[in-house]
Amino acid sequence: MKRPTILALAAVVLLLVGIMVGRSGVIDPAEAQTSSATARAAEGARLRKQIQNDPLAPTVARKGADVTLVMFSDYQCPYCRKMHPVLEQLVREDPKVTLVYRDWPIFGPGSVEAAKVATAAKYQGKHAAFNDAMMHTPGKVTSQTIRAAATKAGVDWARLQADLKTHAGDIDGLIDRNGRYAAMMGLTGTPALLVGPYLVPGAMELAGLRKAVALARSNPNALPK
Amino acid sequence: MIFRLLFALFVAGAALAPAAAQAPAAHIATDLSARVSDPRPGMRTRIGITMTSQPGWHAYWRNPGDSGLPPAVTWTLPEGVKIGALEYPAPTLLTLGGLASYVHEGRFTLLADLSVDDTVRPGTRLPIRGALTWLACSDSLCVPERANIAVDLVAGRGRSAGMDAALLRKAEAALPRPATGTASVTRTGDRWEFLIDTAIALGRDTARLYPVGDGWFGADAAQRVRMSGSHLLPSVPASGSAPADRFEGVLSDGRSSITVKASLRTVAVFSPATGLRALSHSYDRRELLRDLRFRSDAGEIDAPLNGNGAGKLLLSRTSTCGSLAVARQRRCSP
Repeated sequence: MKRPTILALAAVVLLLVGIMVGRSGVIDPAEAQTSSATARAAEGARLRKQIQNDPLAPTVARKGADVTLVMFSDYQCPYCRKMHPVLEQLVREDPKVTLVYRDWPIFGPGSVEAAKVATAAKYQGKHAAFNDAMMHTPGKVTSQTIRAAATKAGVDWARLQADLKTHAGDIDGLIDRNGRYAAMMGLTGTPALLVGPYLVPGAMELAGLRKAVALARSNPNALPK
Repeated sequence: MIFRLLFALFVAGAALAPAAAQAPAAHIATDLSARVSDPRPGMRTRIGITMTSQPGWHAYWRNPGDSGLPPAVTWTLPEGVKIGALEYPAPTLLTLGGLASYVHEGRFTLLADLSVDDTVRPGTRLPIRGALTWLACSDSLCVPERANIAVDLVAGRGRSAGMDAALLRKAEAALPRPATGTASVTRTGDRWEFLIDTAIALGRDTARLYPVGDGWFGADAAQRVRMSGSHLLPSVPASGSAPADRFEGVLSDGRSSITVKASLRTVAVFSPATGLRALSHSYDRRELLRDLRFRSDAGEIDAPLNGNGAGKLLLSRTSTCGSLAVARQRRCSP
């Protein structure tokens, strides 16, 4: 079953790549079109910067980092949970990556609630601990499992409830924003990882992630012309 | 890994290329069909949503297990037409990334009853419309998908077969059948022991119990099924105390399946040496003694003790309000 899946996915994505190769392969003599391509590239860079830098999105920021990873995930997405230890390991072994978490809850109410609590935990400096506890929670995400993960992470629940209320607008805004960025990038599902300028939909193993990071490091501003 | 790296895309390109941003074709195709194209007013018929997954993709059962979401539909119906709840074929177990899910792969059909009120006049056009949402997952990606489904019927005599009548008949035959006899579940140590009386033959080596509700056992719990006469006896490690007075689920061997509605019973063992001993973890021994005395006084012990003084008492949870009150630490009036 594994092989057909990979091939089927590759077919979908290669189609997209094909479109882009087609676009970038055209050597374009027309001044107007060149400038529109430049504008497009500038717009793309601007958008990428926005996706990589967010006032609220939980971020593991590193000094002197040269590659930013942006993880789009859902706490109930099986492959997002599978990716969690991979991301942890990468951050451990590579001090020059910054990791941004963008919760994109598409699996229903339990996912939305978990995403909100994860963001709210940031106000008490507990996002990493809660995220880790949640990613290690087996089974379906419910109010009970969220509460249990919060306890395990040492989250002050009363404070969290207060933060959920006080910052409701900001938290909802972040989740909306994450969904909008996902749609703009043409993402259809979770997980997805933006590695520097490269978008990698679907779960990855550590070796693949290392390669993607190396690629992003050598082409930090890769853009289609 | 090479394939994975092929996925690397330039994000700006994807963001700005409208062609690339268009929603790709769904990984699971859907089709709505009806048993008859001319449903008879005052009668009930069946409609079915047939979902066809691309190889390697799956959708979720009504209880998705550890993760996932089942398909959901919002109907838009003409006056006088009602559609019942979706009925699912038995799922299969899929374990990926440490999460166990109850899924459907390949082609499967969700059925529902459609009834036309007897006030609807023959010849009335009945456009059936639905907005269907579901989650499609592969072994690395999960995608929320949606489709508008439609079928056009005309009130009539219920005699004209619909386009996919044969497919729907097959789907009906594939639905879990009601177990022919009664079923019960008891807690023994840290396991649920089911006793299911059924005349339907299931392969015990491949049979697996799928719960409709949460809290009984882990989705990937190792199960074993014994057979004794007309009884099937699945045994499953419990994940906690009983979440309800009745277990509802499906027992499937991958080909045939039955619905299981098992009432929860409490088992206690009596022996002359130790007196009464509770097998059920939720019981304190003293409470059990008191409780059983209460039950004995009331003359409602289900199973007699055997000749040597050891025996098994089966207390039906529905008929023993007193024992329930003890087990659950709450009061109730018998």
